[in-house]
Amino acid sequence: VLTARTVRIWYRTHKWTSLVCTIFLLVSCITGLPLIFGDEINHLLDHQPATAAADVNAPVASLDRMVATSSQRYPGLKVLFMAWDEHDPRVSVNLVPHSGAKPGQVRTLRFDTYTGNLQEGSKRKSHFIDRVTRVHTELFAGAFGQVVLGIMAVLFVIALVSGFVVYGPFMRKLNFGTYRANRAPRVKWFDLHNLLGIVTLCWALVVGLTGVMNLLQDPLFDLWQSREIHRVLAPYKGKPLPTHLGSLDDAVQTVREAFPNTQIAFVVFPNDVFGSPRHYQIWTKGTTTLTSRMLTSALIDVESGQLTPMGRLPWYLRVVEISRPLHFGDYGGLPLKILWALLDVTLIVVLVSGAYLWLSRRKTQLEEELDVLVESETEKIRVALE
Amino acid sequence: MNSPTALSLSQIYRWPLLVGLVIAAGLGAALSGNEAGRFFSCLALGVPLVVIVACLILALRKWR
Repeated sequence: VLTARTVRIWYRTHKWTSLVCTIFLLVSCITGLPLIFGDEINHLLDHQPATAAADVNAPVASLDRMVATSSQRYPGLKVLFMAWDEHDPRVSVNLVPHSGAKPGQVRTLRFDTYTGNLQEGSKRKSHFIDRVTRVHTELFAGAFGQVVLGIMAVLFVIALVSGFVVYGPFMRKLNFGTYRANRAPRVKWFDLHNLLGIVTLCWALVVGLTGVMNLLQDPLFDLWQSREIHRVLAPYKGKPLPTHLGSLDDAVQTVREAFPNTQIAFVVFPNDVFGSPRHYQIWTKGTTTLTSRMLTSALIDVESGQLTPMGRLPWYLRVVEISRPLHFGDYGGLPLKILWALLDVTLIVVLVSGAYLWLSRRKTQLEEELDVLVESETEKIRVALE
Repeated sequence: MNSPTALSLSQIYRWPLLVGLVIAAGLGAALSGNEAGRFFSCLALGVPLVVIVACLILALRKWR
């Protein structure tokens, strides 16, 4: 039952959780805007050269040759992973000085999937989206930034739930969508905050929750992967590490045959930081809209070419994979991205209006107003709920 | 738009819940993975924006 006391507690919860996370959410919302259009911005800034006509039946070029070309181009570096472009027939080969290299130390070469030709002009000229992504996901502060943002996302969800609860008492004498344009600026901002907040609440709740899940993904995934790799490597205990890598083409072909109706997403080369020091870790994804978000990995022994399937991702990592597009809004083409951006801007207005209401407060007028409201209406609310 | 009498909780939350349900249905449809689902998703996520614009236009016309 909502009593005057519980409504006051909910209101204070809404106020303080919102205030604490507002600045962080503003950063997330503002950096989220370009990320919604990340593909388009990258395409615009990078001036990718045209690839050969995409013919799914055409034979693909040798991956081993791409690796060899990359190693010749950067003899001091080693290939860490290869990734297949989602939109164009293009393969990126990423080279690093050592497995634990920082993003700035990575060198990337791109090859045409069908001709195998190195695309000389395809070197990334802009790292704008990469940098925005780092701000959005970790505030340039690594794991600490992720933890902070995770806590802020949880506070945001609490603020939304408490906002929904206190909406009722505040709106008890106002019709839905009320905007008192003839009143003082503070009242107008209050009405705008209520209208925009309550209408976009469901969307904001989903984006907030999926944001929390995305931030939990890395540690949960690392935990699962380290257990799986440990299990796979147990039989190799005491054996020397391989000095020669077997054919990547053969390894990829083995995985293609083992996992029909999937496509190769990326390959992690043997390394001692993530993945296995003895295997190509080949990640595949489905071909439908839904399954294209679900990755499955297999390990191929670089010496014997033997396939070792990894265990299925646990349910919570599957949920995170499926929910990712619900955070970024990238599952419905450009129209949905535009809607997502407009909802993002709406959320920015909610945050700014909330901050304005707090900054322009006069002797906690809202609390006094709330006290009068809830004390006079507590009995009515209780009756309505019972 | 002031209501002369106090509204019940069901009256207060009726429209917000309806809009929320439409959004939830739209986001759920996105997971179906087909074109129709994505199209419905776009329509559903446009609803809150239409509601906001409609409310503001009505309010501004009333107070003009």
